[in-house]
Amino acid sequence: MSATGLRLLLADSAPILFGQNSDRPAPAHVLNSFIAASLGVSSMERAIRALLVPEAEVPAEFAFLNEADWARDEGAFTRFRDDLSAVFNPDRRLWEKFGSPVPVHALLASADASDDGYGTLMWELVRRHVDEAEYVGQLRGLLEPAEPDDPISAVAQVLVSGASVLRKRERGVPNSAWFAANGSHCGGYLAERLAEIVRALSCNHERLHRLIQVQHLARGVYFGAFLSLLLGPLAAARQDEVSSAADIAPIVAWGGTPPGPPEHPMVVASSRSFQIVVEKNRQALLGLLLAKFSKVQIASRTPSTQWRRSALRQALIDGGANDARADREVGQFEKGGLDLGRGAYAELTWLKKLLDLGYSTAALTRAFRTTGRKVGIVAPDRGAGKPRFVLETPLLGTVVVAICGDKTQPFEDFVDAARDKLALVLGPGTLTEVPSRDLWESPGIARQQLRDNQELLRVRLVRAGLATEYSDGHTEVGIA
Amino acid sequence: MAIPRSALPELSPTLTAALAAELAEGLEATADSWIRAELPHDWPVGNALQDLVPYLRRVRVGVLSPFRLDHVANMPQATVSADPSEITRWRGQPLDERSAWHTIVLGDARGRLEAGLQSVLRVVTHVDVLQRWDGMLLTWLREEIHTRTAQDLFKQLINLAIEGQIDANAFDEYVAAAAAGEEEEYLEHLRSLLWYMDLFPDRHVLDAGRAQSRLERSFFVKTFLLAATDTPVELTRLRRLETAAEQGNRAAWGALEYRATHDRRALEGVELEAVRHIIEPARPRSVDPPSPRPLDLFGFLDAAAGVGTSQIQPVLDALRDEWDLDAREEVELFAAFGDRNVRVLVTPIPPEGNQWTGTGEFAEQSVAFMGGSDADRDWLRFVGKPVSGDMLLERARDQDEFLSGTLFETLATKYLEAREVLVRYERWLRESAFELLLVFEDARVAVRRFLDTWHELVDAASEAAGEAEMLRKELALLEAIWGAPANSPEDFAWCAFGPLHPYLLEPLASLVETALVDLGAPELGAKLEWALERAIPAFSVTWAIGKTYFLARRGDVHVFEAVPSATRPAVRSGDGLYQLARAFVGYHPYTEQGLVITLVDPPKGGAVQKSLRRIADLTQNLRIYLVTTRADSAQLDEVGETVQNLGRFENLEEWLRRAPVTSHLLVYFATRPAAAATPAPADWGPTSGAHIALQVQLRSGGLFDSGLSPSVTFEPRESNRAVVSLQQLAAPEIGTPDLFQIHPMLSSEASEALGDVAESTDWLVVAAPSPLGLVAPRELGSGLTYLGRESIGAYGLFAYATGLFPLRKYITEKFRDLPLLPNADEVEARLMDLAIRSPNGVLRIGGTQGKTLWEQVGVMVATTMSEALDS
Repeated sequence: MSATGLRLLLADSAPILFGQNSDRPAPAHVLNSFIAASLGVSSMERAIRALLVPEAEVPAEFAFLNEADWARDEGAFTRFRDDLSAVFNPDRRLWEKFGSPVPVHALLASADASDDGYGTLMWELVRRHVDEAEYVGQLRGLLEPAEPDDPISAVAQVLVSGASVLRKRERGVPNSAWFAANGSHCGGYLAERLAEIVRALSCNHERLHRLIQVQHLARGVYFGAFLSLLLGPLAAARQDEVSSAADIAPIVAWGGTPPGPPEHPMVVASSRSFQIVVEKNRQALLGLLLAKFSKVQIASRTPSTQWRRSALRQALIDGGANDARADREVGQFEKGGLDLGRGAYAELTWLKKLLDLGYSTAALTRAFRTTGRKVGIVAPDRGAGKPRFVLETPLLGTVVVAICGDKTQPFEDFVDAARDKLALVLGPGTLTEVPSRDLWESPGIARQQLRDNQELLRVRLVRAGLATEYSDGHTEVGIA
Repeated sequence: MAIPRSALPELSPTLTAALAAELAEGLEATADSWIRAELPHDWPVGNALQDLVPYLRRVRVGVLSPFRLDHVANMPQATVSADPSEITRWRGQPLDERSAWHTIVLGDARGRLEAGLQSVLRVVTHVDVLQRWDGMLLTWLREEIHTRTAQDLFKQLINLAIEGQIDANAFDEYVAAAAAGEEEEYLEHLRSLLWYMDLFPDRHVLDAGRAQSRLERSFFVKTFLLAATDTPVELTRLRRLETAAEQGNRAAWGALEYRATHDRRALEGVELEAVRHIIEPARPRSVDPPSPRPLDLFGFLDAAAGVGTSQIQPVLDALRDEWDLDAREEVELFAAFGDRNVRVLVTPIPPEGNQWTGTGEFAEQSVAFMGGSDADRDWLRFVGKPVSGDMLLERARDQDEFLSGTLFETLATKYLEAREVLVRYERWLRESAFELLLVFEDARVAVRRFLDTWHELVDAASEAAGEAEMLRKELALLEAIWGAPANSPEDFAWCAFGPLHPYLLEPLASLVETALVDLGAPELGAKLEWALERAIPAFSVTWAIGKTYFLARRGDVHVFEAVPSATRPAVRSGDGLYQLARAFVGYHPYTEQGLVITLVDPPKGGAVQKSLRRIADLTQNLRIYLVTTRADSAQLDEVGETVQNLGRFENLEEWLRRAPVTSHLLVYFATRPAAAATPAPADWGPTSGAHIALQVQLRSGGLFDSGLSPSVTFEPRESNRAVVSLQQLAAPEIGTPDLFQIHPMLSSEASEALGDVAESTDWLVVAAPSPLGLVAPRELGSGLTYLGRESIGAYGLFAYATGLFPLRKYITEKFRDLPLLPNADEVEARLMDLAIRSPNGVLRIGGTQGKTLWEQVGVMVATTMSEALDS
């Protein structure tokens, strides 16, 4: 797989793409990098990591802990550090020199690359579509509580006392990227919606526990990254205007309890939707590659046997690689079996082979399934059935908070908002026309099944405490 | 009022006709002739109304979403309105006025201002219409076509239309198109025109009694074509289709065209069998939907029983090919085995932890680590000083200089060179060593070579005995981390084996080699799981620097301590807990509604969680209470909300005092008692065989103890080379080797506490590390009766009941129809007898819902008779 090289080739139009290890990033990684990029890396990141690794020396910044009476009991002190580790390093993937603790406080953020760049790029997306200063203040309000009211926040407060922002993790994004100034209209529309969602999840709602909100934010940023991976290239490739995210590509999701009975027509439709949108994603990537190579300039005296090699190298350099890196990536492509001999370079068959080296349909399907499963938008596990779009209950909660904030709204409006903002087709909502009718055998059936799906979702929302049902049949969605 | 028969089409009945008939029936059945039709808006409802209206006087049609006015155009005789307020006004008219009209409201009445139209006496739905159509079609088939062959197919298609799996309009077109030709062509049309409904033409679809299975197969292939594919089985099928299409195969081309366009016309002439033969050439009859759950490695080895190596090896090769040895994160490996996917999750160590082979350079290799006694005992996180390969080589040279030779430098060099080859495998050896060695032949060869060089080096030092003093002690420390107090750095309190320690690699390599020889043997996977859980580490004792170290913890890391302590093995396999719960539910059928289980100190390893997930299927409501008294207990987080954690307690007594709960089943996982060292007899030598030998003896408990108690001594066997080598290496300092001995009895405190626990449970289960750790007593507390045993991993699950009444009642119920009057006391006595004689005889009666009752009664009778004959 040569995803790294393809990422470089497509960086100017669709920078948020899968990397070499698409299985790796998890929601906590992405949130950590998002915070590091937006609010900055903690000046005490090393000291905090060392403290949270019980075997490491107590760092000088926390020497005061040794002065307490109880800390003289070596066993008690070790237990204390073990407990700290259990809270802030629950997956035991934090090391003295690597990794990030759970970012329940902004000043716990560390410079960690496990997120494959998604967190930093999501920040680049968000900051272009919000009032940056206001948003940063809002995020600080959530992640730097003045008076923590739970033990975990209180301990985090102690850990970061004396810390300050060391630096921000920044990443240059070309203006031609789909979410940047010169991106497509469709890209701008999608980016605005995603930024709205992240902004809504960054508010400190009185009705929600702060730690739950941090979890929602982690899921929200990760879900935003997932949608950027899935819909971003499509938005980049489109030139027309859209009025709903579902116009880019509808994500028809099963509204019942995941993963749903495989033979249910709505589950079949959500499975087809997954296949179609992944296929469209690949087509869009191919289109972007073609556009990219159509514009590549190579020296006119280049022998025809070298056209492809030169164009590929030049395209990599245009994408930000230096000479050595470009040569390395070209070598990787060649090692993967890419024919760099005589032939045109802005040619679909050759570009398809190039794309297959990192983003074949099977590889993309696998990557979207694995990534989507981590946030609860795709199920089931690989090998356990056809991949389909679903909404696991934790994600459902996040979507409700993202759309409704601390207010409530009628259920049908919520379904409309999920479709328009997140491309999630869960039911007809207030529409009379059925979206994505081609996923069903007929529009008549589609309407009925979408309505049934919407009802399944409504019941789940009510049961999960995310909606209230009134005696006249009206349902209000929201955490209020 | 019914539509006259003459109004029905002369050819096959249409959906329009069924709609008209059902609407007419609805109007007739309601006193005020008011109905609402909640139907798919793309059905020919307008046409049906046009057919119907001429037969009705004064018709009003209300049009609500999703219908529009143009759906009911061309009906001058009817009053039509799309205004919900007006339609609601119609509804509010006096009865005599309202009854003067036939009113049909189309739509779901869920929009604004439509609430008053929602509730009506008769709502005509798509199910009503399709069922009516079914009746009409069958009647027509009988009367006009004179065949029963198609009836089954039509029934199935109607059901699929009701479920929304096929489009009723497409079905309508199909019915009409099939009837369009001559009567003798009709059946052939039914087979070949299935593509109208996005199904594959199928020449077998009219075979007697096979319509359902044929349609299921058609749907399976269709689902395969229209869903995303990312598993090897599906990718292989897709590749076969693509290859066939490239070779000009019409069916393959059509199937792929349908995948790309979703256009039903692509399926015209694409025979189902032809596609099936392409995607499953080797096993054409097995394209039925495969089991969705992929097989894990051991499941695959079980499923491959009776299959030739030629079919198993490709699966192992495919797993190998998917495995990127340079990966830094866990990898899911997939391979196809017939219709099943094989999924194996392999996990590397993170790059940040301690490395043993480093870059492979001698100076970069770490052959051991030394640290403080309070350091983390997991070598991955251990903080201490490494002993480099260079240092080992230096020591070997010093030894050679003393002996005036080059033997040890040569052997140490060979050892380090063999280690160097393991660089690319090291990261997988902690968590996925078995999988690695099974699929990578190179890894097996490298490990064998490494073990051989280790033996050569260690055995040479043993043979040199007193002359190799400079090196001998160092060699005992190889491949482990060692913890010692700061003031006495060589007085190691504990050690933990690294991933290359021969105690781990040697039994593992042997098991892998055995597995490869036995590929295709029955239950190979289960046997391997069983063996892996027991064979590693190779022995429960190790020796170094004049001390004996006892196994204190098993799992990802194997820790040995100089001062022995009680241990609790992890559990990775076995379903004994599930079998016990099944037996309990069998004897107590009311627990199918709700079952409560209390688990005390469940071990880690995953098998308990697996069993609990299966138990959840036995009952509608499962509640698990979790009580822990030790830090190494599993928290069962994976099981989710079913588990209620009651907290951590000092011991059972404290829990009973502070937070007792009642439950149907209480399972107490005991620890294996602390071991002791026992000197081997003077003439001791390893016995022949592969692993360990047991010796059971009765020993006195001490000067003031009355009676004898059993003890079990473990001896390494001759083929357990790693143990024997280390033992010989240590011999000059410790003399005759210490063997590992335990007194496998429950402590009297635990026995008493469990007796008290019995008051709050129906069945008490003592899970004792076995077969070599603990022997459960036949009697436990007062009133507890032994029922039998199951096993999970290394634990024996000994079940006791607080009363035999439910069991006796269950059994005597079965005798009710027989000319017998069982004596209650006698039945209970026989049950107790059976429990002792047959490990799970009593449990199996309950577990099989009585299916093995007569078999077990036969055993009881036969035993009684044989005893009578003996006496």
